[in-house]
Parts: sequence; C-alpha cells; structure tokens
Amino acid sequence: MIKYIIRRFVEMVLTLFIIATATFFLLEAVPGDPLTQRADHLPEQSREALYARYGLDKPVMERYLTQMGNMLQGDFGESFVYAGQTVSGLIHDRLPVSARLGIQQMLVGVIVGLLLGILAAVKRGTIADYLVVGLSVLLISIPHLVLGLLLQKVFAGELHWFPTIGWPSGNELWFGGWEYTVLPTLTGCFSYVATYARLLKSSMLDVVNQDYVLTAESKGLSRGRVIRKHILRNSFIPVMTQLPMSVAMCITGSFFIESIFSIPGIGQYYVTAVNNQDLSIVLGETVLLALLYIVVLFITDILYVVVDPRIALPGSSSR
Amino acid sequence: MKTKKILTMLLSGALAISTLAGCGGGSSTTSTGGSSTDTSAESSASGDSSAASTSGDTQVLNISVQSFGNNYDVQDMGWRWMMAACYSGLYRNIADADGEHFVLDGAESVDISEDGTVYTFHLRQDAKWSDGEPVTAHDYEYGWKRLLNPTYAYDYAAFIFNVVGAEEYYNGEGSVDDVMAVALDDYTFQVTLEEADPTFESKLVATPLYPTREDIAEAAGDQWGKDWTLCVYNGPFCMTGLVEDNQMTWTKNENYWDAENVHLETVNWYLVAEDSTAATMFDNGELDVLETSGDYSIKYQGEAEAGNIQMITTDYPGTIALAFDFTNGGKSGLLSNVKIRKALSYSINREEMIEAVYGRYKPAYSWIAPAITLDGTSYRDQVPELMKEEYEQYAGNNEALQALFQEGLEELGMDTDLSQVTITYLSYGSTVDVTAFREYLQQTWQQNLGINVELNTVGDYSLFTAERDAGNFDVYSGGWSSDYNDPLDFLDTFYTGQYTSVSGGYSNPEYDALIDSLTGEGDNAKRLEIYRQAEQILIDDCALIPLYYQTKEFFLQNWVKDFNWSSFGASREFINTYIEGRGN
Repeated sequence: MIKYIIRRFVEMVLTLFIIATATFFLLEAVPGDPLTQRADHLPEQSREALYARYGLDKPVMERYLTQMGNMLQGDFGESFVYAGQTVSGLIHDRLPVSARLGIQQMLVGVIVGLLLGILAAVKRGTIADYLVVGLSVLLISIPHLVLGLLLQKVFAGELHWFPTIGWPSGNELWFGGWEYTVLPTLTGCFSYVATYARLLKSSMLDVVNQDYVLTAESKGLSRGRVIRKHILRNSFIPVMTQLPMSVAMCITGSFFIESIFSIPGIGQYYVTAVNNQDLSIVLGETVLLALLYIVVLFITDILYVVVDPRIALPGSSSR
Repeated sequence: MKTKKILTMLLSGALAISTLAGCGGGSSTTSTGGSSTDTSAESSASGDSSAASTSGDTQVLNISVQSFGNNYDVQDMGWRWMMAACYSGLYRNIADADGEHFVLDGAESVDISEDGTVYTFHLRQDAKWSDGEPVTAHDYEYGWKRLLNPTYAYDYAAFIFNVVGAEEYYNGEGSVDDVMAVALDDYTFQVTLEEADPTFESKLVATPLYPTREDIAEAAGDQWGKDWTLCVYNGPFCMTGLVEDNQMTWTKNENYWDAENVHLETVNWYLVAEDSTAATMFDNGELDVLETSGDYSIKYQGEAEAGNIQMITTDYPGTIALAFDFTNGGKSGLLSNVKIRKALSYSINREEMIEAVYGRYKPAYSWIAPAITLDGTSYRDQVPELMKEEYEQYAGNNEALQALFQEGLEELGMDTDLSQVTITYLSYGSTVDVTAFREYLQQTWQQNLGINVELNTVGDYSLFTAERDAGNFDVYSGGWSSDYNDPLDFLDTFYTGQYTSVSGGYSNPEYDALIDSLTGEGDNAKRLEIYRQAEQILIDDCALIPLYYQTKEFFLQNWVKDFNWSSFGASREFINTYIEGRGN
C-alpha cells in the first residue's frame, strides 16, 4: 500500500509538470498575448515600454524557466489583465464561492437523484419509472444557460420569490444569505439528479437479478428488508466511485451559472482568463484543477478497494 | 406516494427560504452591503403591507454594467467611469442640458500666458481628500510626474509629451526635475508647454492628469492601484464596497468641495452579464438605469414612447469604419487603387445597413464623429460630411459602381472581369451584430459590384491581429473612439506611422504636412480650416470606408432625474442626479 502511494505521488508530480508545461506552450502557440488588444491602440514608443513593464519582451524559454521556478515556490505570478489579482488570491476569494455553490448543487442533486433512482428501480415498468427516466433525459439536455435564465425570469422576475442576482459574502460566505443561492443551486442540481437517478436505477436492476437477492427473498425476508439490506448496499458501488469525481467537478465552478447570477466564483474567472490569454492565472488554475482531479482519482482508486474487497490495488501483494 | 412527499418537502423548503429572504436581508446589512438593502427595498416593493414609508425618496441609484474595471490607479485610467466619479482633476467634463463641456473643478481659476505655453492653475483651497487632507499642487505635480515615470510605462504618458522635459524624462534622456509641471506653492500648479496647444485644456479632464497623493501611493508600493482599500478619493463619490464580478457600492464623499450639489447618497453597481437578466431586474425596479441592445432595445423604445420609462440617446465620439491594407494593397493587391476603394465604399447603403444590422446608430459619410466639438459646437455642424456629395452620385447605381471598379482595374493594368475578382474581409467574433454585419457586407458587395467576397473570420482579437499582420485580408473593420474632445485626435490616427491598426498603414506627405502645420496654431478658425482640408484628403484618397457614428442609448425609470451621458467624463453622469417619486 505504501509503495503504491509513493508511486502514485511521483506520477502525480510528473503529470502536473507535464500539464503545466503543455499549458504554457499551448498559450504561447496561440497568436497574440495578454497585451495585444491594449497595445494595438498605443503609439510605438509606449508599446515597447508596456511589454517591458510586464516582462513580456523576454524570449519564450527565459519566461518559461522563470515561471516554472516561481511556481515551484508556490508563486504563480500576477494577472496581466486584472492588476494585483493572484492565483492565491483567487483561491482565497473565489474558490469558497464556487465550492459552496457546487456543494449545495451536489447535495440537493445527489440526494434527490438517488431517491428518484430507487423509486424508478423499485417501481420498474410503472408510470413513476417512465417519469423519472423521461425527466432525467429532459433535465440533462437543457443547457444551464437556458434553465438559469428561465428560472430567473419566473421566480425572480414574475413571482419575486428570490433576488435576481447576487451571492452572499462576508460572514455569510459559507452559511446564510440562502435566498441568493436557491436559483443557482436549482439550475445546477438537475444534472446531478439525472446522473445519479439513472446510475442508481441501472445498478439496482443489475443487483436485483443476482442470486443472493433470490436467496434473501426465498428466506422469506420482507421486500423492504431485501431492498435495504441486500440490493441497495450492493448497488452503491458505482455511486461511490462516481461521487469523488462529482465533488471535484462541483468545486471547479460553472461558467454559465456564475455568469447569469453574477456569482463571483472561480469558473467565470477561469473562462475570462483564457479569453484574455492571462497566462499566469490560466496556468495557476489549470495546475490546481489538475491537482484536484489527480487527488480525487487517487481517492477513487482507494475507495474501490474499500467498497469491494475483491478489487486489488496494482503493486499490492495482498491476494 | 414517495414522490408526493418529496415534492411537499421541496416546496415547503422553498417557501421557508423565500420567507427568510424578506427578513434576513435587512438584518444582515453589514455583511452583504448593498445587495441586502436592495432585497429589503425589493420585497417591500412587491406589495408587503409592512413597508415603512419614509418622507421623500431615498437617494439610491441602482445601475448595472457588464464588467468592472481592472485597476485603481488614476494615471492608468484602467477604469474611467469609476475614476471620473470618485476622483477630481483640474477640470471636469460634464454633460447637462447644454451638452458636453468642461468646467473648472479642482482649479478655481487659470492664467494662460500670451503665447499660450504657460498654464498657471490656482487650486481651490476647500478641496479635500476623503481622509480630510487638503488637495494641494504637490499632489498634481506627483501625479503628472508619476504618469511620465518610465518604470511605470503608463499608456497615457504621451498625453503630456508636449510639457517641457516630459518626453525626455519618459525616454530616459532627461531628469524628472526638468519636467515643467511644478507646484509653485501649495495651491498653485504651473505647466509649461513646448508649443502652444489649443487641445491641451480638453485633455485636462482625463484621469491620468488627476492628482495622486504621494504619501499614500508610495506607502502602498507595488500594491498601488491593485488594492482599492488603500485608495483615498477627492471626487463626488467614494468606493465603499466591492465584490469582484458581483457588485460594488459607492457612497457620497462628504469631503468633496461641491458635495452640496451631489444628491445621491449611495450608488449600487451590479455586474450583470446577460441582457435578459438586466431586463428582468429593470422590469422589477431592481435597476434604475438600463443599457441594452438588440431586441430588448426595440422593446424598451416602445415602452419609452408609451411614457412608462425614459430614454436618452446621445452621440458617442466613435466612428466605425472599414480599413484597407495600404502597404501591399491587400491580399488581392487591388486596394492600392483609389477608384476600387471608392467603388467598395459607395456601394454600401449605410442607412439600410444600420437599420438591418443594428437598429440604431447614425450613418457616417465622413471620419470625425459628430460628438466631437470645436469651440463648443459640434465639428460636424461646422464641416459637412465630406463624402456625401460624391457618394450620392453613385448610390444605388450598380452600373456606375461597377464601371468605377472596372476603371480601377484598368488603371492597375488588369483586364479581369469583375466576376473573377475576390475581396477578402477580415473580422473576428461571433456576436449577433458582428455576424449580421459581415453577411450584409458580403451580400452587398457581391450583388452591387458583381465581385466575390471571401470572409476570413477568426475567433478573437489576438487571432485577428495575427491575420491582419500576416496580410490575409483586403478590408477589415476598425474605427476610432476619441480620447479627448478635439478633431485632432481622429485626424492623428492617419498621420504616417502613428496608429497603423486604424489607418492600415496610410501615408500621405501632404496630409502629414497639414497636421504638422497645426503645431502651435492657436487660432481656432484656422485650425478648423486645416482640419477640414485634412479630412478632405482622407475622403479624396478614400483612406477608409466610414460606416456609422456610434451613439449611446439608456433607458431610465421615471423617478431618475438629471441623468446624462458624457463621452469624456464619467460616462454615466449622475453627479447631479436625484431620485424623485420612486414610491414605496
């Protein structure tokens, strides 16, 4: 196990290095730079001074080495576009916002999704089943942008139930200001509902046909008990392995939802940074998100073993 | 049955939360700033009988923008509409019933020497910063010298290169002590120019020439301009709250020298990315001012006509034009010929185009926009649109236009049929307007001239400049928005080598000589004549294809009074705005 963890750690560092390098050179390969538009309307003289001010007058390799060196020390550099904005500032200010939004969406979405999944599996072939399946397909195919604007128009515009835009900050960053979070949470939660409802339903249907379920039923156990003790538990394996991925996804934020509801999260900023070719920010965010995914994948692998002891980790001798 | 339970749970949850919205908002004012005050105002507006009515209206303005600025350094002017309202310079550009003009602000009076080179500004002694310190001539001297400091490389440094010693200092060839922008005493600031420059005063309204507090800026070090909490303000408003990408609050600055004429107590800015969201908020009364486009614009124009809301439309000092490649004559090599350029230009029916594509703006038959004034009168009222006469000879006459194009081909020694000619139009982006325009242009030229039009469309501005610099075009869309209120700013763009991104590399010694002859010319009548001649050269040479003059359009709730748009000031001009009759 320890050997396995060490190997994964080395792989992780290597992956991050490759991702950072690839991101740097991909951004370099795109024509233009963060200052193009600004410099385009400046006299020649001021243009050179501007490039020198941001250090963009230096050759690519030199900048690559400096950037990598700084990143090793945890310094991703400052935004080229937004004065004073740094990656650590983003993590401090914006990540919590996206994280709360994501967690709320996920909690609501996963819980409702699982309940609907159980319902659809238990009532297989009935109206309820078709409703859940139909609803899942519908919800997963409506883009966030459309759903968000629709909810906004109806619940904020017509009914005045919730504020149109905004997000709690200050003391209420993590808890409180709920009225602002309802519509964004609803907008984003449906894709979780659909995913988890379908996942659990199909998994349960697999399990229902297993021999041990037949055994349990033949023992004379009540239907509820069979479902709770034997079916549900065993059909949770795919859910357990999907969950960490959802957690990683939910923290990275959603561009459209954040943009529609003016939520100062990290997703919106990431897209803006890419559009602006804001190198240091894009690089920093990419590496961070990559790190998050790698860690999550690692946890998922461990979880497999925990949930299903039949699966062995590569490199471990227990078999 | 289970579904029923879940639904009831969800519904009751939603209700519980919505009741929270009503009372929760008011009690948490400190933590959420403007957003919660707004919620309480909103919920009372929605019909709760508990609404407390106060006598008179609360002087709060709610307004939206699509993006906030990106730094707080006045010398950088990264954020003009914020800086022009939160800071104050020697002069202030305002827009009111008399149109757009500048008035004395930080300066009480100014003496200009006989030869027009020495400006002595007498500062008002009652001007204070938001921390109570007086605004002195030293603050101006520091701000101006900071602007020229080569280590900061400010975009607008060239604005004051005409000051004695300025350009030398910026280029590292002179000392800061030789820059002739100095404080003679605490309240006298003197500037000496190399040459008399009648456009100088119109530049003084620009925020790079505003004062900066040396003690505060130096203490902030490299955080200056990056951290708004370090700022002090000397303008009508102070920034008191900011959540990036969400909202911002300004509060009236009681220390502003003219605070008694500032009526608004609070201005709430909301960052709203979608037109649809802004429209919802405006309909709800959550926004007092709306700037929108496309179909929403048409909808609200109707509402304004019905008297439900107010609408203001003003000229904006920007002209959108098509530019050519003068270095190589474009990808086709044909654009070196003036007749071909004219055929392209005159075949576009501008009235039809702006109606079909934008539904607003004004057709342009010249380069300098009507928003630009000289001696307080629109330049365009003094000089007619110079292209119009010749344009009208050709307008709508496809045979004549094609003959003109053909003549051009012959002058180039080519015997090609028009159907063999291909013109490449370079553009970027995929917004509705941009897409509609390039399709319109393609159709127009193909139908009216019988030529082929190839669209070279790229994703963003960086890719656009790459394609442009590689010469993969004949024509591209460009234009100019003026930085200060004088025709010279528009004309300077076509001076050889000055702004090639606007001029397409146009070069004409005769034109350059005319612009040069303006240096030191103080007589506005003579300047007007030179401007006219210079613009005439651009039109005769068909150096560009003017398409339309930009305008600004705002929709206001009926309770918003005295709101204006200014092109060179704070943009949204609400220093004297007040709220009356919002109701409760």
